[in-house]
Amino acid sequence: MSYKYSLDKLKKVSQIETAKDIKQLSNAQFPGTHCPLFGVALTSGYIKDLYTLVVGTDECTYYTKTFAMERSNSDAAMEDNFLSFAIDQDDVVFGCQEKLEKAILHIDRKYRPKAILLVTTCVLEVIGEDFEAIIYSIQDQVEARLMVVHTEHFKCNSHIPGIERTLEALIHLMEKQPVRSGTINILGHRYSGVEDTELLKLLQSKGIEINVVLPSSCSIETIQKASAAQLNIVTDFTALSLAEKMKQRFGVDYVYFDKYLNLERIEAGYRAVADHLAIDLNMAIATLKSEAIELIEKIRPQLEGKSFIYGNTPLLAFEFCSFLCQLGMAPKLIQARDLYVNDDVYMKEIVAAGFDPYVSRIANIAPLQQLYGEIKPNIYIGHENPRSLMEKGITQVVMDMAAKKLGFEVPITFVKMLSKATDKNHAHTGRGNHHAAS
Amino acid sequence: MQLHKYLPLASDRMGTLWALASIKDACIIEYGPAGTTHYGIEGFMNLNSELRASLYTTHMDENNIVMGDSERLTETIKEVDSVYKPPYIFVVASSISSIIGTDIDSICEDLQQAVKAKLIPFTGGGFRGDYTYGIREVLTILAKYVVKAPAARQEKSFNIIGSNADCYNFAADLRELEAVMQGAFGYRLNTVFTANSSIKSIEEAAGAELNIVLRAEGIAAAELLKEKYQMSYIVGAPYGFNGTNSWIKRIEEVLNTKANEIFMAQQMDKARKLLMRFKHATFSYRGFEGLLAGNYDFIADIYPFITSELSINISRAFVNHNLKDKGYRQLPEAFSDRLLVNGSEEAKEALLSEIKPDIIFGDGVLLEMSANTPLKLQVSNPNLHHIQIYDLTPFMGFNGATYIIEILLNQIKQKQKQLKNGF
Repeated sequence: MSYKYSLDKLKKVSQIETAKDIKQLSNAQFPGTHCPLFGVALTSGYIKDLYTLVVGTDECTYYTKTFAMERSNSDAAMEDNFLSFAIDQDDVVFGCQEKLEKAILHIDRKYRPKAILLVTTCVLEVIGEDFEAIIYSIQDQVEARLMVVHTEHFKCNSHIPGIERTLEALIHLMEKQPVRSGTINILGHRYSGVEDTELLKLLQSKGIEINVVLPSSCSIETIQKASAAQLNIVTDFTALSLAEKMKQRFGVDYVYFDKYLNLERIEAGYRAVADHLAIDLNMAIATLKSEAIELIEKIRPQLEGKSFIYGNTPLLAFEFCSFLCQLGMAPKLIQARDLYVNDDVYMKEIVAAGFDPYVSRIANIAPLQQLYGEIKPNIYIGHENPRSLMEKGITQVVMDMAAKKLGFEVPITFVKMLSKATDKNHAHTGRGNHHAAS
Repeated sequence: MQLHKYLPLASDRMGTLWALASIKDACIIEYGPAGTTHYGIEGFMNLNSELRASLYTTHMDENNIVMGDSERLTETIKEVDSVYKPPYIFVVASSISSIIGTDIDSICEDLQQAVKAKLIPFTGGGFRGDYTYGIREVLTILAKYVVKAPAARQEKSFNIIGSNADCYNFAADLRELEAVMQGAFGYRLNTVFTANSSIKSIEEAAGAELNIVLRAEGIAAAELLKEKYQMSYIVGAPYGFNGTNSWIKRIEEVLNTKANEIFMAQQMDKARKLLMRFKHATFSYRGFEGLLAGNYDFIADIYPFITSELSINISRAFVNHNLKDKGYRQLPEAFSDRLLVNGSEEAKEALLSEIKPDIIFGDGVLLEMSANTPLKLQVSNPNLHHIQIYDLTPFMGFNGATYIIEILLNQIKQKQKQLKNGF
């Protein structure tokens, strides 16, 4: 049988109804998606006084630990409170409840953490080790609050569930508090310096105080008081589930205000926040929005008609592509992890703008590299091998910087980066209209 | 205790991937959840090595696990065979596929007729031993299934068996071994099992005259090549001036030829001057107490240099793996009591505070544990933060001895007060 990589294997945006409609370009995947355990590593290291105990094979624990050490070395907000329980063959056959309980007692006495997050991995889930039973059995004997996050990768397609479940687990640390008017929590922001974002600077100028930022600036103690906030602002969809739980348990309302690019959505987010907090942001919103419009309109001619492949950014895949369609850019292929909240809306916007690009699963670059000549994009958005893109004459735009922003500064930062990159590309490959991918 | 504050011992599966991943044109398919592969790729960079192989994952879902449906693997093998046309496909089990009992051997056997690539299964899955087991398996299997009968003997050429990505300084040490063999015998490097190597050059390994086996994990491979292609081999790596000199003498015996006398005289003359300088720089201190950590063979080979030539007392040596397999060389009896084999973090921390070493030749974790030790040199993995790009900084050979002395002299100069306070 002969195999040939082809876009025909994929469905187009208009045909996507469920996550199962997002197909892989090939059976062989490279590099493959990250697993939920990685999602935990991205999240729990921010939480001060929390110890994370990863229970898994040598390999899962080894690589999580090296990642955590590297991350804490480079990010002042991150702590390396990761411990490993490396299972052996006997544990696979007989289970490891007793050994784990001893390990938890040891951690509790040696490190005196305020909480311990137990993290399962694929093998533990396959053998059915009952972590909830372990917590039930041992919680009374330890000072630390015990929580569990399950991270089996064979039930999902990415690391996102690991982030969501880590954030959800924090509900167990929260206690009912009297509400402090004029305070907010930021839920889902995984970068340091949230105070410097447009959203927070604007709110703080109106006298609004930050109660806690989950997960990037918090401790067990501040999490306990999270329910004191008047409002939760969810800046990443991974925290929506936690926000919903907080609403049900403590009555804290929330506004979903992700790192949008669409100016109307940003404005709506600001207005919803202003309504909840009873503050007037009309003037500020109008000023910021008009600045954004002015910049976008100035750069629009440079971008109009340019085609792109969407690879991977910390922003919302379909919302991102919808915004570029509004700028007159043409999506050729969108790589997506899964379908998330409101993706149906964003996909309809793409189709309404007159585009119907292919959609493939993310993190499978190998077959895609063989199709660049056929797709002929001007721009690749996201992480890829720069050399391989350069050889094909494709401009690469990496969006990591914009992920730290909130508000109109997200599209402003992005459009500036895009403008700079396409300018550079013109200088680099600008010998006539030659395009190496054509 | 299986609880670790730092790192657990890397598994056989990790060793397998480390050994295979640095071979250009090797094609690896992992049957397991994709996250394992992605993590592995990023972990490989920590070894300061480059992913030269093509590595693919099948990913796995509940259906594969609950129903034992392995069609995903067979389809992936057929696809890779058809699209990329590799001569060999190394099919590597994951911990999950091992636990659910996927019979990778049978799948490869059944599929072999349908594909052009030679299918080579690795069924370990991470539960059969530590990383040295995986490296041994790869080296042996390459010798068994990949090395071809030579069209003709390549005169004056040699292979290196057992320079792998897990060897901390492999790139620079390879350069130095090439230089020493060229200088002493006029021999050129034919191929390496497996660092910075390629499938093609490993296929042509049997054309060389000699195999130099740097670690015990490569002995079975060398034995196979001796049996099949009458290739001689020696075991051991050259560390220090005397160590390199005697290593060359062993090669003289095997090759039945004399090393270049001028080259050797120049090296030994430089050695005398440098060792004198080192002794002069250190005579005003009390004898240095040291700790050494790394692979067993590395410890066995570098120990005489550190103790006899540099006069540093190695109080304890930490072997960073198990010694369950046979084939490891004997260390001097007096030293064997000082070995801590695959010691726990607690045991290492206790020894650090008991010995209070002046100097540590160790891995990244041990160096991190010993913040107050004045003289520190990373010589082994695991590596935490150190980036290595420049490949003319060997530890092996004459230049390696010189380089180590240079590092120590600089560190001694910088830490004079701290060292003298301890006098």
